[in-house]
Amino acid sequence: MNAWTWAATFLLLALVPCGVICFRGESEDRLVGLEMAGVVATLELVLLCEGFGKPAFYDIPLAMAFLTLGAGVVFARFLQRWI
Amino acid sequence: MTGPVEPHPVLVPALLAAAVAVTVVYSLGLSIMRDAYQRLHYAGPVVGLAGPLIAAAVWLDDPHAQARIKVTLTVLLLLAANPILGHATAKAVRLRALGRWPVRRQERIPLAADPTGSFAGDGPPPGIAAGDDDRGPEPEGRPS
Repeated sequence: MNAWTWAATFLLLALVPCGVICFRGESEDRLVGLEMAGVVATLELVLLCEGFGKPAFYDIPLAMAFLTLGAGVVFARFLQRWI
Repeated sequence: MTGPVEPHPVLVPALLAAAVAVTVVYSLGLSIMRDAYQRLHYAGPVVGLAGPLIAAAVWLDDPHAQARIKVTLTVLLLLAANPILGHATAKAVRLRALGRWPVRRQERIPLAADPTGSFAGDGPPPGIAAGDDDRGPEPEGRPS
């Protein structure tokens, strides 16, 4: 274990409140929880890439950031119109 | 960009600890808030503080240009995406709740010319033209 993997371990705690909101809240609150979870997951992936010493894997958090944006906008649109 | 880098023994863990602390605290705050509008504000510091702190730690700790460039791109993308997501979500929440996006005069949003929002006249408040409708003019050809 190094500082990066320890940070990644403790950063997982930030996903717990997001999960609680996604399970319990209203639709709007769940969307906000999902977006926050996406951001936390992106940062988590950065920490894991650095902790395992694999700079080639940085494409994964970069893709996750793109997907967080796209998914959030799509779900917001669905929430606005159809759900 | 590449070259030998001595990992700082104190600064890198301190940056990581600060980033994790900010993220965990604001995630907890997000869960405590009462409605979606308030919750939306708690994603900002995670993106604006924790992201750059982690990027700074990567720059200090990793000599590879690939890692540095990609983590910088990732953080910049999160910084750009967060206000877009916040706006889209707030708009969706408002449309679900009220069925409309524009603000009506009755909502008394404080204006620069009327900072207390106390305007209660019959005509338009300062800064809004008479006859200004919420939806604006109908586009030509659309059935009313």
